[in-house]
Amino acid sequence: MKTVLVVEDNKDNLQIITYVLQRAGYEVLAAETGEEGVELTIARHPVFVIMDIDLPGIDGIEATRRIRASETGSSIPIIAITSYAMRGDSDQIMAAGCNGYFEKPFDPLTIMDRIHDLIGTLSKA
Amino acid sequence: MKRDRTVAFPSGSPLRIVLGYTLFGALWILLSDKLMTQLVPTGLLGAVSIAKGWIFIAFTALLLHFLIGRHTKIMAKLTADAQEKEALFRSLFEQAAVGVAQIDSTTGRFVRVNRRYCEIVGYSREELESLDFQTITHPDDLAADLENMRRMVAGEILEFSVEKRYFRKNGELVWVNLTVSPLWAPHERPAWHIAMAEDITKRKRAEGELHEALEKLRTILQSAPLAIISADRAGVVTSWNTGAERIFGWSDLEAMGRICPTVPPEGLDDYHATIGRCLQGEIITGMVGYRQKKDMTIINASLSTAPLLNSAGEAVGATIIIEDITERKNTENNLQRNSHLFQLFIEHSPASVAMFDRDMKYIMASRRFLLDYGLGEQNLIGRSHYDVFPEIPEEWREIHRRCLAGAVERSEEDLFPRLDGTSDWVRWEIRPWYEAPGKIGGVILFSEVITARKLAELELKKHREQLEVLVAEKTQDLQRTQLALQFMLEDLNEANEKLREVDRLKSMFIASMSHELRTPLNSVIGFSSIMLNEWIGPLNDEQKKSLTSILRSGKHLLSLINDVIDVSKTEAGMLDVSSEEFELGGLLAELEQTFAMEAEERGLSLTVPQLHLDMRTDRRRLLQCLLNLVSNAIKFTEQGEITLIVRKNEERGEVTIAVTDTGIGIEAEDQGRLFQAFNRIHSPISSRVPGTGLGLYLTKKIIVEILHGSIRVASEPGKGSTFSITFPGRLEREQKEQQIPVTTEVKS
Repeated sequence: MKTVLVVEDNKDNLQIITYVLQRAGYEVLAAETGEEGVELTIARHPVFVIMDIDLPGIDGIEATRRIRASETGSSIPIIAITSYAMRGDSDQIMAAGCNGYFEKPFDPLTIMDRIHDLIGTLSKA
Repeated sequence: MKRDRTVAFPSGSPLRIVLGYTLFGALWILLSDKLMTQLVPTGLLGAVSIAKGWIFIAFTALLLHFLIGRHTKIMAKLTADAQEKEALFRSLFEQAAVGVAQIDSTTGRFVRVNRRYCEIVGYSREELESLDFQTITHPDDLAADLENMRRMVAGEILEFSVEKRYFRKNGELVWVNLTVSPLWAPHERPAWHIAMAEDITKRKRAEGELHEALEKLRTILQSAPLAIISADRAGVVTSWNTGAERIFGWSDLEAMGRICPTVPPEGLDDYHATIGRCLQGEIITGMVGYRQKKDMTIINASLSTAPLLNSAGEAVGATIIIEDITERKNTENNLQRNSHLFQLFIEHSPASVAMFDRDMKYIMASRRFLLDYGLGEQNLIGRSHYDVFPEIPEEWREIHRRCLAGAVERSEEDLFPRLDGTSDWVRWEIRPWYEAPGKIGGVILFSEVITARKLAELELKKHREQLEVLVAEKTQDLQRTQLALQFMLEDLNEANEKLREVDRLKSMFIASMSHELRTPLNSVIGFSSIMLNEWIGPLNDEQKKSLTSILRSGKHLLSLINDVIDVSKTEAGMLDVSSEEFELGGLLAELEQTFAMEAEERGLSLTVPQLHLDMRTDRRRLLQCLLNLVSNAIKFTEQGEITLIVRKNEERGEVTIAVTDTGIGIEAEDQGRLFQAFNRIHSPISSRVPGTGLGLYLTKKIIVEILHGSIRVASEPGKGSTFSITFPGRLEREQKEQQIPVTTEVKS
């Protein structure tokens, strides 16, 4: 089974994404802080990472930078979740090394397609 | 040398003596021998013949003795004579009072010169004997000299005498009267000549001086601007100079020989009387009268008459000297008139003017001066300024002295304390006047008593000072007001600051609200959606209905919140524009996908064109607008179709997207309010349709302010509406500033 990592401090949101990913057939690892997310990524080599930007401690941008700076984390796709109010930060998110992003709130019924699109685009590139 | 032959040989020439002696001897020999032969016996003949021979010898000897003795005596006498003559000549030559020189007639060299000659030409005897006369002769005189010499040598003249100039050794000129005589006899070859020179330099100089003096006198007489006329006892003109001709017009020829023509007929008696007085030896000068000119004009004449004396000192007539003083007379008259005018001018000058001489005595003063200084009708002329004004301070007297030395001084205002205790303010200027160039004749004082003006000024100054006090008071008031205003301004600034703070708080509030409100909504929407799709477990219809309600309400709340945030951001001008390259067909497909299910559920057909159009604008905002419009169209259409049409205006680079529905439509009077915030149109359907009342307001704002486009609506109630947006296909930076007005169009 393919393992994915979700870094998200909001438990409701984590649950919703977990439902979506499990339904799509992934094993879901969860991290509630950026630091934990970085550690788990390096330790477990998930297929991809869903990274919330607004986190306690280091934020998603910093966590992405650290993953990208590590030896094993440089090639793992990272999809960021942004909040509506943070739209202007998209450049910063992409610059940190994310492969794409989607906004909260999202529609659980259609979000998996979007995630696959972003990763698919990546694999194509 | 001349020889007196009669003295040397009184009995004839030696040849004759010899001839007589030979004849006598021959006759003696012949006759005596014949006679002897007849008279003397033959025997005795020999003895007699011898005796006869002895007698002849004795006679001859006697004769020789006599002749030789006589000759010797003559010779001795002749020698003595010659020696005496030579001494005399030498003495004469040497002691002569005139310079004598013996000169070689061929070369002109001096052979012998006497002492006087040496003195005259200033050379020593030795020096002269190596010179010739040509060298020391003045070049101007040489030609004539040589010509005379030539003529004398040629025998044309026996001797000549000239006045000529020699150069002395020291370069001075010396005039000599020279007499030159030949030292050769006629028909002899010319060898020497004698030049006798008399120094006539003094005479010559005296002559020159006399000549010069006479010439000068004549020039003076001729060129003098005076008529100098002499007349005889009868008054007849005997001489007439150029001056007379110039003044009167008659030439000397015209004037001489007649009674002086300058005297007018009525003056003749006086004229004769004057001559009469002169004949008595009187000299009359300083007479002024009239004389007439040739052209009959009359002149003013100054006349002097003096007796004309002959060599014996007797008065034989008169010399009359006449000066034409017409001009001078005129000048004098003019001067007098000018002086009078000047005096009048000064006197009646409207200014205070006084003129002083070098001793500060009044020469003139204007009436105004008298008036200004309260001097009444006094006559100031000749009086000292300091007598008239004893109160003049020393410092002013010093100024007068400086001005008399050439300074020009002035003062715009000066206080003049008067004797009576009052004071006058005066403005004055003092400058020297010149009676001749460089010679100061005194000073002129221009002054003005400005006491009245000064007092007015002082009064004015007082007023001004009062005014200044007043102004200062007012200024203080003003400053107080200003201070109050400043406080007010500070209060305002503070209030403004507070407002800004409030504004910042509002933004913060909105930002945080957006997050805080959305996070729970995320859960509401997310979980209800998951449950509704039975991911977690099967649901009964009742549960499904309830969850659908939750999901719909959650979505509505989310869009409401999003709209509120967008509106507040738009109003604050904080809505960010992110222009990007994208393809419109893809965007429309996304739009269609979003509404496909909903439209199908409601039995509406949704037609979206297939196209490919690359453009650059804010994709997200464009999508938001279209979502809004299509969402509205679906909401307000119960049956029929929703059609999207895309038009491209290549020329203007604009794209128009029109959303047409077959819905309820909008009343014309409501169309104007359509784009206002929180303004839902009341209609039977509206109460059933959820809406925030912000949708079209926000859409218009985004289209105008973000996309730089416009929105319009055409609608007919009951038939449907068309909302079309037109915006630049490529949003460049400069286009952001454009404001395209929104227009509405009513389809009727």
